[in-house]
Amino acid sequence: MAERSATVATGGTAEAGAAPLVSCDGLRKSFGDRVAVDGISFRIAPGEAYGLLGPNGAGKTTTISMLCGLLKPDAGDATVAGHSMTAEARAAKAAIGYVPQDVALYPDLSARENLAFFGRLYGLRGSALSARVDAALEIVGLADRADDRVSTYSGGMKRRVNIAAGLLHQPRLVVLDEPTVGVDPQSRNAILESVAALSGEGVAILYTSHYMEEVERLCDRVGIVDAGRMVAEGTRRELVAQLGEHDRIDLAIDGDARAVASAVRGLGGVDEALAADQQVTLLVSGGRGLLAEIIVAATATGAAVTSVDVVEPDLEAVFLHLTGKTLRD
Amino acid sequence: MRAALVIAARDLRGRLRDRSALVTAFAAPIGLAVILSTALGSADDVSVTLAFADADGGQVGQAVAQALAGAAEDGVVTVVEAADAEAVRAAVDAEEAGAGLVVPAGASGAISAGQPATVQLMRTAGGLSGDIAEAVVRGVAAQFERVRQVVEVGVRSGAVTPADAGELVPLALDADPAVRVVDEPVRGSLPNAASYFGPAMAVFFVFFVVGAGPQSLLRQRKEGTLARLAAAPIPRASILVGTALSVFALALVSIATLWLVMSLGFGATWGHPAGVVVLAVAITLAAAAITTLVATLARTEEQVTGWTSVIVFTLALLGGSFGTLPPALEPLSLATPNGLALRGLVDLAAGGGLDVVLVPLAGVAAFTVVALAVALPRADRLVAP
Repeated sequence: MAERSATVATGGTAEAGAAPLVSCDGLRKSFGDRVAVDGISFRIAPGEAYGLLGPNGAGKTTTISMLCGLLKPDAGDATVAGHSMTAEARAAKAAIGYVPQDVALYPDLSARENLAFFGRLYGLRGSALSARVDAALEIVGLADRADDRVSTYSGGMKRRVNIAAGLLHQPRLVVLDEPTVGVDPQSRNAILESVAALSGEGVAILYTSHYMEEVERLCDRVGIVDAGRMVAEGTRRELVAQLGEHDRIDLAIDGDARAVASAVRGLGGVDEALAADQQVTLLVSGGRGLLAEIIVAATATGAAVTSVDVVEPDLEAVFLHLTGKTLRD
Repeated sequence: MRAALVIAARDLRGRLRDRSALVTAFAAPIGLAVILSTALGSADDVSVTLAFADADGGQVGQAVAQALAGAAEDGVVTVVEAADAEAVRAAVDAEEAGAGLVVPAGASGAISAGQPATVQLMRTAGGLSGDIAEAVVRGVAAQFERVRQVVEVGVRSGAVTPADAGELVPLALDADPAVRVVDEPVRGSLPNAASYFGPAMAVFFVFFVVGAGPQSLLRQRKEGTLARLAAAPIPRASILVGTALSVFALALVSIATLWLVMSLGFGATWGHPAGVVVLAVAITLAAAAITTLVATLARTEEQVTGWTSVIVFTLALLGGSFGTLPPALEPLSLATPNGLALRGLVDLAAGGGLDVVLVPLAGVAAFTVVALAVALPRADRLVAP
């Protein structure tokens, strides 16, 4: 396996030169013997959309939990809007709108009642609270169902209220932890549009996902996390540039995908070959010229190649290049 | 404090919305009051129906009728007059009466002739009604035994001729008994069983109500809402305090419900209201401390529920909520916070002044302080997302 390289850039692009809104420095957290986060550092500029990309179990949620003050780091600190989460947690938390991965709402209350409750915890009251609740419901497109109990909502609608609860107090930073997991395509699209709209309004976003497409669509910069470490960071262009002339080729296989991966891994120009289900993902430096050779090697194993997809270099390919794994591993 | 009040209000609203607050504050205390007053009520709440027929029409029949009337005045017996022995038997068979008494014709004549009289008792085996009817008859028999002794002494001494002996009978029957039983109130005696079981149930039930608080926190952790609370710019302690305030209010309402229902519905006496309120608040705080301690030691909501139930029932048993312990075990009762609180409440119900709550109050407070001292350093576990 080729030696991994990582480019870690700091500073945002949204407001060049501005002091960062978020600074995470050397965050570290262990649970027993297992190191969940191992010295992660990154910065988010005001108004910047930053994505944390990594497979399940990479340490994204633990990182976010430390940033939002839910977990105390074993080492390191996070600063939000100039306030240390360790020393001035309440001031730091006031600047954050946290949208947890799981729907965190009271099912017996309506959406409006849920939002009013969470708004009060952020110091909103009276007409200002009502106005913010209405605005948040409008953003997520649920104004017409606001007075229905959350228990009557679909999974996607609950997710949208879950996001609205994080926007009530007009935070400078919205932290969204895998907000589209388990959501139907229509709700997913609505969520992504809401987040994009927020970003357009100058709100800084920290978005975690293992869906490469979402991070590519929403984020100005991306941090790639694996096994508790930040393995690369930069804009999409900067990250993809690390691949050089590499291409990603996806083969759909009817047969033993592992055997195919083994067979093509030995070919010159194939840097990575990973089998998952009936698919083999390749990272090749020889470009399309290698296609014929790859198909011959694959069919020699007795498997049939049912489709070939040559993909433009993307974050999935970057992750594969850096970690030797796919994002869905 | 404002955040704690917001959290308490949300908690109460949720409990009202899912009806659990109504069950906790009203339905369950009322149900408990009714069930326990019915099942555990003592003899002074007992009333039985006796069928009675007097075919004699003489002194024996009148004496039995008077004895039954006396029992009826005490509220122990309801007497149903029947025409004859067959009617009495029919009433008992039809369970319209628990037992029946028949004074047959000639009973008084037999007494006058120096022969034993017979009174028929009809009852089902082992019934309380039959025991009461038998006691009434034995009382009457004792009266006539006294008469027999008076007549015998009079005739033997020559003061009365056998022919005039019959005139002594009504005098002897009306004479005051040689030994009279006087019911003398003593300290600690209660006007009725409801005055014991009312406070006993209040003290028992408050643990269940307050125990719902830590369970609620664990449920919120499972549902994820605790994480959102923890991410808000509020002190972590306000989450715990807010939840505690909610169940605290519910506990006090449930005690008030029991107070009202047992007083109005079952004639319970509670004593000095200020003393009751002080002890109610104290035992609610103690219950909060103990159930919080249990929750900090447990890992899952199921463990909290199970452990809380075991501890609450053990405390209730030892503390006397299900009835007083044998004298030898009574010190155990005072080694529990609920036992101490119950002692204070019972003393108040028995007419004690506010001074009777001081020692129980100090004991309950000591339990609370110790439980909190152990629980609070661990309480962060409860509100950790």
